[in-house]
Amino acid sequence: MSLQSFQRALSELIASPDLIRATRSDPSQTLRRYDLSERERRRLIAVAGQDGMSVNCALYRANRITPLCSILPLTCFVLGDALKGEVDALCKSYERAELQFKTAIDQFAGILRARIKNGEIENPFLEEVLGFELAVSYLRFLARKAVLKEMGARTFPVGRSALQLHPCIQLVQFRHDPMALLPLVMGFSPPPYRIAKGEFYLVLDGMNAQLEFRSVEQHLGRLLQMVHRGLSSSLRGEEAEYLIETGFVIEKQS
Amino acid sequence: MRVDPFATLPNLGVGLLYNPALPEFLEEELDLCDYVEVIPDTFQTDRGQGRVPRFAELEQETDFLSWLVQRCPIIAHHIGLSIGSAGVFDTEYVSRLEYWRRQCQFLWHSDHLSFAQMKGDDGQNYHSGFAMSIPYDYEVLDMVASRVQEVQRNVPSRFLLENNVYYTDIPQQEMTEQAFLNALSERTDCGLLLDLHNVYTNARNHKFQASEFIEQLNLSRVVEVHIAGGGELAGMYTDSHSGPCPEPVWDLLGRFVSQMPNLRAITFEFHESYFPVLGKEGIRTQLKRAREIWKSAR
Repeated sequence: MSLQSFQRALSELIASPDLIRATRSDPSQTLRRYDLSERERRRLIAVAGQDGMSVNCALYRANRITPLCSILPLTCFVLGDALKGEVDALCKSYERAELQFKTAIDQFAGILRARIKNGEIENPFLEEVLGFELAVSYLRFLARKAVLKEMGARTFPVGRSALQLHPCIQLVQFRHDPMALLPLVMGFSPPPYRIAKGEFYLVLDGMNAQLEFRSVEQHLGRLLQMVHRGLSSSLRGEEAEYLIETGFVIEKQS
Repeated sequence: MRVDPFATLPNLGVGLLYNPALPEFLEEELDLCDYVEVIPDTFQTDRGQGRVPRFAELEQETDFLSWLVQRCPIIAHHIGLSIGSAGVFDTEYVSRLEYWRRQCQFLWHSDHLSFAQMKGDDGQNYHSGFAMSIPYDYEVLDMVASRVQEVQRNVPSRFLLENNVYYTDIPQQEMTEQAFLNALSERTDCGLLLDLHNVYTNARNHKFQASEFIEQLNLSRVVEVHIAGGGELAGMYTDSHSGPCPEPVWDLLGRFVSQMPNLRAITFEFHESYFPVLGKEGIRTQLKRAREIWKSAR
């Protein structure tokens, strides 16, 4: 147990500058919680006092930010100076590092969405840019060929059935014109932006190897939104047929 | 007479550690590489120990891997074994290494002599978020040696361990890092992946002579060498893979390459975020220089 405790203590020190400070000022009290041999205790005290701990801490934090910056670069850019505080919130809510990129971004997105909903973040572009990048990453991690193969082998139900978005399609609603907003954000042009406000919809089409973005008119966007929210039973027959014709929507398998 | 455990390994030459910025470069200039080293962990998602199915391949990445496998020799470099973790050894992950061996026919494979996985109070394994050096003690040597043997039993391909980079120094260790690596290799027949940039980084930060460190290694156990670049952070030099190889690392390579009789490959590694800094010409330059040194020793 002793070596295991030593490694755990060392990893917790690297994840917490506060714990390092506490170990430096009162090692007996701070290290009491670990089952350590006297040599391991001396080693930890010595390591906590070394200058290299600041590098370890910085690299640990960089490792936690890497998935966010890799998968959600535009969100990180739109957050700007607020990114640091949001990463702090992530580290506080999820003390254990998550190096699986998909899980890490789900955690981070959950925090951001909750804080946007509670009015704790006021950023006019954040929610829609986050939604866009989550949709891109969903399609990025999707086993596209397997999904398309499965779709090809499907038997379609007889008669009218509920609809769903095609698994390779994502819909994102924007409050600003995405065709104006996204080029600015993708070009890392710093806000503020003067962009038309309104109700806009962007379809992300992942059916081919190259992801395609299509801005769709408001009526189609609203119909797709209904399908996305599981309200396809409220659609009229001709609306359902129109949606199926677009290729963005399929009938649910019974 | 003892059989040389590395005698049957092919002489590869000079190659690159694959990263997501490289597909276009490799499609255009694969002939610059004698082989490509891949990190199988980056070709899959891992839902965690005990989950069924636990691993899922990433389609785009594995499509490119299939393309590579058909065109050049592959070696593998893992980042998830955490061979130095006390109380945690992920046998499902070891089984997955064999899956990847069959998938990409890697000629040998490697991981780091470090620990990153921990066991929580809830019994679940978790990643510490940072790979750390193990203490070079006999107790740890016994633990790591038994795990190397476990890997070798499950994956019929030569296994190498890489010397670590460290920014803090654990005092009162029972062995030097070199003695530990030599003993581990001798006991288990694992090869050494000598990361010259790690040695340079450690030497610079902890004020010792990199050449003296290397001289104390059993260089006949070195099968592969890594070279890379780094940069300054918080008053120290880091192994950030942030660009071209610094001159002192080239000097080390030039000086010791002829003293490694079982050296089969020299791999240049950089982080994908620095691709715009290096550029294609920068990569070509690194490969060309490494090849000149490789040839000089043959």
